[in-house]
Amino acid sequence: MMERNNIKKIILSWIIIFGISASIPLFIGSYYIHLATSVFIYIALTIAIGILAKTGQVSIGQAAFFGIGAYTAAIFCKYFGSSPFVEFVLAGAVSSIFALGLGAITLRLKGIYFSIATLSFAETLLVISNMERKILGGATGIAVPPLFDNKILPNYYLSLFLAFLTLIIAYFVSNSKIGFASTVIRHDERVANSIGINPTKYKIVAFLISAFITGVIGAYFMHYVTFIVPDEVFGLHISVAILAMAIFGGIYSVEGAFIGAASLKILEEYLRLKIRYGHMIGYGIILILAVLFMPNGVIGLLTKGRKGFRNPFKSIIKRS
Amino acid sequence: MELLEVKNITKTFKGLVAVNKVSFNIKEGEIVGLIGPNGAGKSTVFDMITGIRPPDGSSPFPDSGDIIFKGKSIVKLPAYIRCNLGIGRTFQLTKPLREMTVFENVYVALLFSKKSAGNRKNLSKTAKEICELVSLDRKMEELASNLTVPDRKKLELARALATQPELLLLDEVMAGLNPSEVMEACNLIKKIRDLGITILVVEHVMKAIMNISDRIIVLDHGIKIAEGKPEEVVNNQKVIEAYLGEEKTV
Repeated sequence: MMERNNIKKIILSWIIIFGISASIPLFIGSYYIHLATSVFIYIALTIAIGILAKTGQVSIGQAAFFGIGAYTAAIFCKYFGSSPFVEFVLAGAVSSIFALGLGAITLRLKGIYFSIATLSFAETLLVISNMERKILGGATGIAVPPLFDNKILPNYYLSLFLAFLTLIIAYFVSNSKIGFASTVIRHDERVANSIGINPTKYKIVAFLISAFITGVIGAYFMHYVTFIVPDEVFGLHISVAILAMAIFGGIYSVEGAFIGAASLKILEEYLRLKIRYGHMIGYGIILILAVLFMPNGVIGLLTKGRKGFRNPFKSIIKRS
Repeated sequence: MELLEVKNITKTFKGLVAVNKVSFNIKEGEIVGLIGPNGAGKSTVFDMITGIRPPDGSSPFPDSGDIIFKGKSIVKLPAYIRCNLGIGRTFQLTKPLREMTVFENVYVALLFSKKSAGNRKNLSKTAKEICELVSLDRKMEELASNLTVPDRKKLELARALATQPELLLLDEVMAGLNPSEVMEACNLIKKIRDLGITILVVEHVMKAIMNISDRIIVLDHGIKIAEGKPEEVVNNQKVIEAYLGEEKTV
């Protein structure tokens, strides 16, 4: 971990990436700035799911926390007129409270059971938000005034800031006790227990952090688009997109999350423009190929070289 | 002083009695051997003392009886708390954290040890010392997945030591080693005892366990059939029967 990586190099390359990201609005049009903003939103979301995934628990219901964040921000904005930045923190806190409740019950479950529980949690919230008309506005959604008078640049820089803040948090978490514990727990819970790690506690903490970030990003998204309907924030497509990006990039690394989110979001947009009908089919094919040929994601190819590449047909040929 | 007191523990798995009213004590500074034929219940006793769930996920708690460590009952505590209290263990099937280096494996265990509350620099130093103790210091930067079997056993031991236990449970650390490696392991275990750590060891390599143990406990079909000095135990009729079968006159 810390000892093996060259810390200076990592920090330097992130500063360069940050610098490039901060200066590109000078060279590109508003369409691309909007695209970049949504890339940063997804980068933060993908890094957040990675913090939890490091413990070996995969959430297929990140949309739940994204939506909770968005709706919390909307409600506080609409009914209390609070400042957006207070809302961001509140949105994260409320998401974490829900995560605590859900995690305390379900994080004792292993693997797929936890995933299914998160999925059904998100779907439940989708149904509830569709039905509840008085406060949440039901299926017709809820609207808030835009941030920064809807100017494009401040919005862009805020998303950039949030993405890099998430990145920094993720690095700190992965080099803290939580990160070390997560790796051990993912590897073997018996070993974790044998060296004094309480697996449930660390899984819940990782889940809380993940939910907090996702909630904050949800709140930002709410203000960025100014109007949301339940399906847009609680929909399964959000959870799946986040998971796909994490897996595509390499689920256990922060860099992988960054690469995965950026490349898939841009790819999706590119395909949408090039293929008017059925662009998601192309997207799906690329994802399937990626999972078959590089099980460790892009980051696996970059760090392990040829070892990161797997020939999926090899084992089939051997067997037959 | 008695460090560990096991009192009448019984454990059944779906009607099969795995451990039946076993009691024994371990004094501070002793090396105690736990032996018995396959299926005698050694691993079950281990799991009950450490509180770690067996690989099949069944409960590690005894059906009845009590386990007392340093005068306190630990029988209902979760495994990680028992570890924090000072019970360390190794696993029979070595479980290195494969994607970490040898050093990191030890470092992580130290990081979560209750007694090593200090800054991280101190931890690095202690981790190096532990690697030196088990003579893995030359391989500290190697990934754990690249280690040979004897080195994995050493790493298992190093990681358990890094939790800074007072009682160390060794689960077949010598299985799969050649005779000279067994001798090396015996010397290492004695060296660990000289550091003030009490040791309970399960072993199949009889020569080794006779060599290092102060006292031996023999289990058969979940029942304690003998206890005593190594030379007493090997000549015990019941023990010979358990290992070789009854003598029959034709």
